[in-house]
Amino acid sequence: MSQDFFNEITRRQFMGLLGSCAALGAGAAGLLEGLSGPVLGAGLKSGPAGWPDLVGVKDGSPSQMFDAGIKALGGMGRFVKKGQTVLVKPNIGWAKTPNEGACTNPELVGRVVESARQAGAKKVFVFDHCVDLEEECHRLSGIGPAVKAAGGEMRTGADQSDYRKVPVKGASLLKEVSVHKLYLDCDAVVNVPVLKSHGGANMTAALKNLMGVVWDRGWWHRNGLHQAIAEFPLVRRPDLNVVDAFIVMVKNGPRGLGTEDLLLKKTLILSPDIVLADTAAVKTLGLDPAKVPHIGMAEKLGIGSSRLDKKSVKRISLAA
Amino acid sequence: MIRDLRLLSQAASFILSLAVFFGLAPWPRVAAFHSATQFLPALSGVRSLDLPAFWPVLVLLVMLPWLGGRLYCSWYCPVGFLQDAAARVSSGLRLRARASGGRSGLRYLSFGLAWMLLLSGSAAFHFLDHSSSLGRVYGLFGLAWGARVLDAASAHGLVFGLAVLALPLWRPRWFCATLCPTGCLFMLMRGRALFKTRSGPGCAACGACSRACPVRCVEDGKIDESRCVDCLECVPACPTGTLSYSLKWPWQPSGAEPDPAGRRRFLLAAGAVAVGALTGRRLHAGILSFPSGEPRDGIPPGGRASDEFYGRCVACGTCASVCPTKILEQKRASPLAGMGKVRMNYGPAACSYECNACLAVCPSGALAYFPLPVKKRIKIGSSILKKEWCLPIAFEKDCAACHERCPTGAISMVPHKKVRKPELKDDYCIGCGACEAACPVLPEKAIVVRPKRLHTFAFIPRKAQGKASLSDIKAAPDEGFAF
Repeated sequence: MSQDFFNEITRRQFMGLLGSCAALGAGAAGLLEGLSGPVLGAGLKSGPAGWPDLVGVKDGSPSQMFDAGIKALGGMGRFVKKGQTVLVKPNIGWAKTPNEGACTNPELVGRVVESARQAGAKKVFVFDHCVDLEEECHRLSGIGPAVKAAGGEMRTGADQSDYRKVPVKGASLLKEVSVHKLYLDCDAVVNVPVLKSHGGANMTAALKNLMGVVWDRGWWHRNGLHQAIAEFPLVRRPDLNVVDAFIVMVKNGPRGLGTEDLLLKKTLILSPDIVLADTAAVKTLGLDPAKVPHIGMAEKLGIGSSRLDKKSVKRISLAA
Repeated sequence: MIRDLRLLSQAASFILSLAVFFGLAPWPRVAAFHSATQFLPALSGVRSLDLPAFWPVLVLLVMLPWLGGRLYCSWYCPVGFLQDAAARVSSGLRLRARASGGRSGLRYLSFGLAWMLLLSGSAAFHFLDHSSSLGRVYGLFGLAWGARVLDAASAHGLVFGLAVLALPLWRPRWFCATLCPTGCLFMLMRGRALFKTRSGPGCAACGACSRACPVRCVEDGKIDESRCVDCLECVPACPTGTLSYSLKWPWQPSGAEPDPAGRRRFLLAAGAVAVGALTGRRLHAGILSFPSGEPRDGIPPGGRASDEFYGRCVACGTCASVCPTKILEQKRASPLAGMGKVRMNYGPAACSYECNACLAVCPSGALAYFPLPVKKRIKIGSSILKKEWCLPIAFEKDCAACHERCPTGAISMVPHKKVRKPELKDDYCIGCGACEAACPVLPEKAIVVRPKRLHTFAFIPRKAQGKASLSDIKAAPDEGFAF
């Protein structure tokens, strides 16, 4: 199973390499991992005009909001091409039920997987390096069953042999990091975090969610949580970020104690720019962006922009 | 026919025991039934009248030898199954298996020893008990994939494994007749059984019974009562009807000739039981008593009190085998008394908040079963924060690794200089060790669990945990988009 997955990946990456080389007219190509991010990112900017940089949707069910939001962004086909392998990376870190707001909404994850399949993705993988016991996280969060029903494949994040050490170009702190092979090898990555307050990082959304694809998180805690979170996307930026703010944990995050910690905000934020998505998220959480240092740090590294005022933002309300 | 039925019954019990050990039993009730059939471990709580949930099964097992002989040994016992399987291989290989054991005083010694230990409140009978030892044999599989190391418990499993898998090639059911304390009790009770395999007149000395008997305990219609396990295979084999499985009331004359050496044998047996019992008493007070002062060794939820737990744990390793996080470890400081008993291996792993698997499978009641909502509140230890190591407190770095792992909200983050630091509320801490496992500080963790020797209950974290519905969540005031 995994053997032929790798064979196919390698073939496709090879084809992608040839294509890119021809298009760019450049002979020397960098690392395969480095390639897919920047090339796709470049494609976005030069794409047909009129697509907003960020879409906010309010007052619908998670799947309705996703459908409306992705349509406004140009459809899933913009991010996922036919025959590609896709990683959908939700927050499944917690052995908590959907209405406890600790994990990404399962209905949303299911819908993202389904739409990636509809866009022609050959395989859609879903995993997280869970904080609690993986089997319990998959089951209780409802994401395991939702992904299977949508035609995706749940993978484990608990096996150290799946992680590969890669260098991080341009990082001052996180010079090397062990990353899950799916994050490195899949053709497209869709980051689907849930918006929560966080006792350490103050907020967890798109940037912080990527901590779930690395092996040694303790190192980040010891050496500088915010700087490491900001620098990690230098490895690869997700092609699309979908921030679930349907149920928002406004305090006692990231685990939460009870429903008193939650607010029903019925909001969804979609953006190819991870920093922009987090900037909208921090405002939705009701925090001053300065309180979440990793957003500013990531902007300084050129990972994205936090200037919502300078970007085109489309706001959609689904309220009847 | 009888042979096939018996094979089926034995195989079912064997598969059940395997399924329970490897955590594949579908419902807790299946494991609870299995526990009640583990004879000595199930009876280990008899002093405090703490019997398994399926206690009627246990009562039936206690009555069974009086009613129908050693059917437990021949039709249910998975260890008996392994030995019978080996004996079948032996006859396939045409090895010269012959009867052995049963006549020696060893079984009475073992009987006296094991029962005295059990009645004294020591689980050390597990060294002789078939079901506890079977767990250690299953545990040997763990050696193959590195889950276990070759320690005293594995070594015992290896020796026992050889005794029930290799030795029967030449000596069928040697363990049952020589060492098994349960088998010895059933053998003694079987003397006056209502139904048992009996021998009558009219034997033609054709040898059919000897060929049919898997234990080699019948010859020319004469049954060796000390070793017969009432497997019933000789009955249909006998062409003359000499052998029967038939009813005889206790007051009916047995018709058997009095054994001239019976009196001497009885005295010898009684003497062996007494020596065994006295030895057991001494051992219980001596080298087999578990040193209770091991403060760092936590016991799993359901263990209630450490002395009670050590007195009941039969070191079968089932709980450690089913533990999904592998925080349960069969490793103890004292090699003999502590052999194979579990401890909480805090640090590398944590006890999962959403799991009560170990409580459901314990065959001896060392771990009492509690449903998950109750287990979530059992306080097995207290977390201690070492301020001099903690990243936010000592080094002003944002961290919260312990806070995010804590399932009960015992750790909250409070403002501290430019960052936020963890604050512990012990009333909510259950001692699961999630914080200790998560703490990134090296080489010593900044937060550690101090296990409790007497378990209590923690406060319930908040209402509506686990079963929150969307209507419980307050709607945010509608102010449009915040961005």
